[in-house]
Amino acid sequence: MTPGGWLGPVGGCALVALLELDVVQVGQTMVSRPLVLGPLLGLLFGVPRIGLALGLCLEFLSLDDVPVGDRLPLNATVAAAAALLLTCSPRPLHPALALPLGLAAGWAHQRLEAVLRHRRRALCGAAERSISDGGTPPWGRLLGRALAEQAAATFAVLLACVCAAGPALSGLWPRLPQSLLAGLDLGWKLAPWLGLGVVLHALRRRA
Amino acid sequence: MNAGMQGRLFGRSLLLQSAWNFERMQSLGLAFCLEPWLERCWAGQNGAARAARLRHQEYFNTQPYMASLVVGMVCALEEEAAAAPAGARRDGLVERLRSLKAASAAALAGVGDALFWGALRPFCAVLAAAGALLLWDRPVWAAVWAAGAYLAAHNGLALPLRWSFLRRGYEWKADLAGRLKAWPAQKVIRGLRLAALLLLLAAGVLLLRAVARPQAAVGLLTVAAAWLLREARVSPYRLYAAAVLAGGAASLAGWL
Repeated sequence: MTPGGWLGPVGGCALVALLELDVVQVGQTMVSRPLVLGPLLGLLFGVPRIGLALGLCLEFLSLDDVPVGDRLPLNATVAAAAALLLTCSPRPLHPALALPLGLAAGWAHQRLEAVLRHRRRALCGAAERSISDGGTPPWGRLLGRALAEQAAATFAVLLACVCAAGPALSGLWPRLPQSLLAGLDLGWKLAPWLGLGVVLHALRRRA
Repeated sequence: MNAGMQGRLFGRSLLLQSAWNFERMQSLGLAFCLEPWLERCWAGQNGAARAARLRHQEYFNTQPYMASLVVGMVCALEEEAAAAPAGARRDGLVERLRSLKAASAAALAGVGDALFWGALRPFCAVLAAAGALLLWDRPVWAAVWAAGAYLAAHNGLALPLRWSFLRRGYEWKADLAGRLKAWPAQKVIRGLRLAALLLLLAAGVLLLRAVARPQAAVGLLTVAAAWLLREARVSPYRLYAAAVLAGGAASLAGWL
């Protein structure tokens, strides 16, 4: 549990909402990759090994999921961040349960981002109107709006996952059927090996 | 193109995908990136400047790192068009610019995807993972290594390339495709993938050493199953879901 109660995880959500912009919109310097973000958040929250383990699993599982053309993959950044923040919130989840919940957050973010990308076409129209009127487009406002909407969407998904779904499942965890617990545990233990197989397949195919 | 202008274009190129949308993809980001250059080239020619701004609102999409080459090339061709007298000659240059921009964006996307997404990123990930597994007993150092090595290896190559691509695109202009043929991209891609494969095997050995023998056997079987199912194009996330379901079923059957 973090010293500041919910302040730490909520602050973590805000930080990740900014860093997530690196996935597509700003820079693409890879600071948002699970194997970078996971360990960094792990260090920040005092759980470096969990951050590393979650980051490694999600990095390998998502490595072959490439954003080519208009393809929009599951957001591995949100998945890794949500999973890690769930493990160090005031009502912490076991990583075996945090991983699938993180993946669900990554999937929800992917759906939300598709909507945002459709909405952004309006920005092209606004830019064209400004040029036709003889001026230059208000770049700061147009791009700022696109970035702010994306960061707000990421923050909302993470907050819902960490502050609502997480605590709800934390209470349910001891009451879950034994078979489901065993399944989640096996999934957690096999995730690094699955990731290894996925990356080996991707590299061997291309090498 | 002086260093100051190159710096401004480079800074703006980092926002190329900031307004990415399904209809015109990177067009708005490209127009934003080119703005200082267009302002300089077409100064005092209001109608032509408006036409130049409007033509970069058209659909545009390429690999974001390779886009710097297209930006450099477009800058050179815009400069050429602005220097030409208004009329048929300028119209011809603008048409040439449009077709070269579209053709090079498509061609560069293929090379960029293979180089950056298909080779450099896996290499950096595997380098970070192998080092972290080696340092597993010292979790703080392992975490610092994973984040630091990934960022340093990736940006140590990608950022200087993105910077120099602006200059090269500007100098090569219409000869961009021809000059790129001499570029050893395929050799670099093969080298990075081979290095990543060797590092991945090392990471696998480290993982095997960290677990007990029965777990190692299950791990190797899982790697083989993941490989085979990926051959059948099963998504990695479905592989994980299948592992959870298999665990649940095994527990119900009393095997776990």
